[in-house]
Amino acid sequence: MLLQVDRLKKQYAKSATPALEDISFSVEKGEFIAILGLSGAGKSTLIRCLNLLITPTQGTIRWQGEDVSKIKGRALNHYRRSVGMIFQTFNLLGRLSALTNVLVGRLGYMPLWRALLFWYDKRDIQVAEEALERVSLTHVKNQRADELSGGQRQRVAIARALVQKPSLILGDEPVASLDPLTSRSIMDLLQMINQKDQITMMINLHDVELAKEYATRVIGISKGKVVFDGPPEQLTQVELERIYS
Amino acid sequence: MKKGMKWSLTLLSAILIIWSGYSTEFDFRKLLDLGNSVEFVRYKMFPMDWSVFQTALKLAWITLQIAIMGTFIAILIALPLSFLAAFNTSPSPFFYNGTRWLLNFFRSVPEIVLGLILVPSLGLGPFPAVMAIAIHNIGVLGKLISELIEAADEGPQEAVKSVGATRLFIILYGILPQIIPNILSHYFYRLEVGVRASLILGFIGGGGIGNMLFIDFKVFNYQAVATEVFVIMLLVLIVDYMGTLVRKKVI
Repeated sequence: MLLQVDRLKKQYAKSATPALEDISFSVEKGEFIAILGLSGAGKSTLIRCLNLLITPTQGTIRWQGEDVSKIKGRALNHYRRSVGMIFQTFNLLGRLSALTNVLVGRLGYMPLWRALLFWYDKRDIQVAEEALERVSLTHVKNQRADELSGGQRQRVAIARALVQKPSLILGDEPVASLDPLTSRSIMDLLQMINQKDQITMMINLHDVELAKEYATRVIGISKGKVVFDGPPEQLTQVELERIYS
Repeated sequence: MKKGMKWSLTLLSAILIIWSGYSTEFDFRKLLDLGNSVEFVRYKMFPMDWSVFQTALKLAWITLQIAIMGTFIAILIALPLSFLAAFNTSPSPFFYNGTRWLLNFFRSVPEIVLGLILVPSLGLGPFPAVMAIAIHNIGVLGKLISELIEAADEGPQEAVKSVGATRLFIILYGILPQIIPNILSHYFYRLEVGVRASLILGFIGGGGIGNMLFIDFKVFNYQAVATEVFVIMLLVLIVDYMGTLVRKKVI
């Protein structure tokens, strides 16, 4: 088992009701999980709790059998290193080149002085270039990230996650700000990575059709609770109404 | 705003302005004497004494170098301090409040006051002027940069954090690339201001063309003063122009 979440709860200080409550599920290696739910249902909070960008209030997260929900410092950085993440707004550094943005994914492996001097190891550069090739962006590797199109930016972000050599990639609405055609090409890419590299995917989506098409499993969240967990074929109209009510 | 509040604020402003006029002996009739100033410039300052031109140029260059050196030292020290003084990167409230207090203190002492302390204690010449500009600008740049850090987009920071990078890397890769253009813009603006400060510091013994101007003024050598004023105008114009150019380029 890759990941096991047990009775996870997140209560924000300023909010009266918890953002997440009693969330339990486990994830096997190689799954492609789509998380569905309304805006504000807790999808983003859940994704961020999984790599501890947000500290859960209660509950445990087991990563390959080990409880990671309370780890700190170096252990936390090592855990985050093995979990890639992509975002709705891509979160690239606009003024840096595509290649440098991908190299950011290697920071968890880099000695301090190399990162300080922006003097990267040949192997790191090679890994980054290979990742850019996989996302078909070799031709723009020296262009500034803010000169790229939305789809290209998300591909750079995927390459950045790939060079972490992760076992799991988390996605917080990675296609929500892209047009339908580009969205599909990004989903195709994630599927290809999922199948070829056996990297597990957990992606927040708001498009049910995309979830049905790409995911091997759907987790539906409503008001901070899991209301559906199963294969997309079982996602009936009744179930959808439960998620989106 | 309530009507009464509005009225009392208007009244208060009026009192303040009239009071300031009295205290400063402001009198429109005195403007009629401006003719004297024109005459002074025409007969005392002209013809300009071009024999001092080369010396003036050389000293103007030193004035500029004082500003360059002072602001350079300032940004070198202000940059790391500003990360301690920004709430999103400060390691603890102790450092946050401590550095903010220090920066406020440095900023609140004008360069001329620092000069009045440093020139007599460190000796005449450019060095105390450099230090005066440096200390004041640590305060100014530190505050400006810490505000840039606080306003930096959180997205890239979150991304760098998510790859398992340490705090220092988050600063180096998640924040700095975003704010460097604005830091440069602030820096060049402070350099422009620094040139003016460097001129004034020359008056109190800080070296450069300010010093030369002040000495010639004291001995009524107004024709030399004219040439020096001309060189100063050139210097300020060039620095302003270059500053604008650079700030336009980096943004």
